[in-house]
Amino acid sequence: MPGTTDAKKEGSIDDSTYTETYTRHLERRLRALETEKQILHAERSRLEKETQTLRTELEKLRQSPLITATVVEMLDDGRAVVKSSTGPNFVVHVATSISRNRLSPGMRVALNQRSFAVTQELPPPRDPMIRAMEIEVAPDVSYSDIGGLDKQLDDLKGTVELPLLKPELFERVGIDPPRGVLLTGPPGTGKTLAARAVAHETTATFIRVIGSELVQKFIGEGARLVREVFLLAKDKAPAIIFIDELDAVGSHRLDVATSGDREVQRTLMQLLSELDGFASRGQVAVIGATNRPDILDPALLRPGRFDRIIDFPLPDDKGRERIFAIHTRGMNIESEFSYKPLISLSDKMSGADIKAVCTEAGMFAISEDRGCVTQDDFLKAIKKIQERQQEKFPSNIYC
Amino acid sequence: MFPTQSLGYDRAITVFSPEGRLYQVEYATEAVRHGPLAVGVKATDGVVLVGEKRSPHPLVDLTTLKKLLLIDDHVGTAIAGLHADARKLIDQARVQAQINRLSYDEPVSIQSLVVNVCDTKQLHTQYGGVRPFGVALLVAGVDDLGPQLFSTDPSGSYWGWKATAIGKDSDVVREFFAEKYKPDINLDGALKLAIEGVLTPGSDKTVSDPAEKAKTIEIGRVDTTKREFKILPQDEVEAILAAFA
Repeated sequence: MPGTTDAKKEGSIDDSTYTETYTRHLERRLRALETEKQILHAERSRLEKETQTLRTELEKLRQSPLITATVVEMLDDGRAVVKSSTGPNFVVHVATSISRNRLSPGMRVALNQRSFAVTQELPPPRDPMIRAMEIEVAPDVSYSDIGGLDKQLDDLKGTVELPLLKPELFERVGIDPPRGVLLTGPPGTGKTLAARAVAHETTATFIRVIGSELVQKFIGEGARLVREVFLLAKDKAPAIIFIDELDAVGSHRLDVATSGDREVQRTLMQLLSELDGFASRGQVAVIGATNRPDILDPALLRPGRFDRIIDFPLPDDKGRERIFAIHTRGMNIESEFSYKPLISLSDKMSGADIKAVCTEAGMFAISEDRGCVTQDDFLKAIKKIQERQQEKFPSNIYC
Repeated sequence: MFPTQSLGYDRAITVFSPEGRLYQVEYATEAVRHGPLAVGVKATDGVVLVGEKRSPHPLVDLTTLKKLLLIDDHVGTAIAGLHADARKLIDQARVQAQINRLSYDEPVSIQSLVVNVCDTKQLHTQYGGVRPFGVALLVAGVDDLGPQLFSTDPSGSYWGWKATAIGKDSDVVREFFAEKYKPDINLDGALKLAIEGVLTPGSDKTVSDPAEKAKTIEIGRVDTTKREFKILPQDEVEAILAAFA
């Protein structure tokens, strides 16, 4: 050790003091090494754990896949006949972890790759598209955001919400509640908006289907989708199904039709059967929306399917005033603003048109670099929207 | 609002659809709805017709655009729909009225005049190569049976009315009449009711500027005593409208 040699050479340091310092030095060294050892121990156990996790992960990834199959029937001796997704049917043993009564024909199971034994049961197959139709996040439209449709909203609430929230009222009277509503009216009058408000306000599961989504490439796919939607709704009852643009599938069944049209008709027939077919629908309400009630198949419109037909007309003066008030709620408008001239000028405008007017008025203000919207902006905006709407037919020949 | 799918049965006038409809005739009725409003009210002692005109352009001389026309001394009519089609029908009606005077030495009865006009309209729904008349007429007059008010539609049907309207928003006005009409109404009351009817579809139920409004409103009346259909001049119309200010 270097210290010892120097001290002996010099011979100037006392021997006992020297031993003391040297011992202390060694003790310090020892403590440092111990700490280092502990750190290394900890590091080692951490790395061991990591290796362990990686090993299990590797095991999992290396595991051979299981084949999915559908149970065809259960045999008496405990074995099962299954139809594998690869094709052929097999007679296989069932793992003891699965109780016999859990397996019924039509259930989906997983099979071991080598012996094709049933190792576990799987949840029923659900089309991911259907799952996407369920609204998880409710839209932020409340009933107070809708103007001029009080009667329609009351009708809607009474038919859709009341039977789901208070079924005892209907039991007391002894009737089956109506559970199908059809919203009709010109474009832009608030049908989809009303449905969004229902979705927001109700605690029932809300499933939104757009009519054209039910038109699929392969024959039978559309019908399958309809069936899946209603199954999902029944699973998650009480539920509300909202079918927007119903006339995409619901149009009149005709004799003259291409093969594509006939397929859409078949989807429609599936829909009819689901709405009021053999099995009861359960606690599921259906809201349909369309611009063209006249081309809907009469079978759809009969009571029992769509019991109530609620018309959403163009708003009258009072309704338009309400709608203007709602849309200008958050707007920065000058203080001498009056709704009166706007209401008379906006005759025959729908709710969507009025919203467009408010947006255009804001745009006019922005284009002149102002932060405040004036009455004049609104008048210009109304004129602009009306020009767009104008039917360009020669009204001069009519007298 | 939209007509049902017609699938080609609307191309020719003479073809029925499987549901038994003549789409061309229905479309002609739709054309009538594009014309401005005309109303008629029958009273115990006469009939009143009020028509609203729409100016095609600010430079047009509205006195040359006639909504109410005279067919004979005791018969007048209000038109709604295609102006040119109406002209042809009225010419024919006028000739028919004179033929009746020549043949029978008496003014034509309102109903037989209407039947004659409607026969022509029907002709144009049954032969190929022609289209229906896109015009509806309100025929008002007084004959031996008393005051009469008839309406005709493009199919050639006609009905006698106590009070009715044709043209734009006519359904709204007819509803209004259904509530307000009383069978014992007199001619002045009928005039008042008719003008109220004309003002019903608009958002303004009062006449803010009688002079301006008088340019676009025509009033005609016939009473049982004189049996002469008079289309009122503009200043009289203005005076009447002033009462509704």
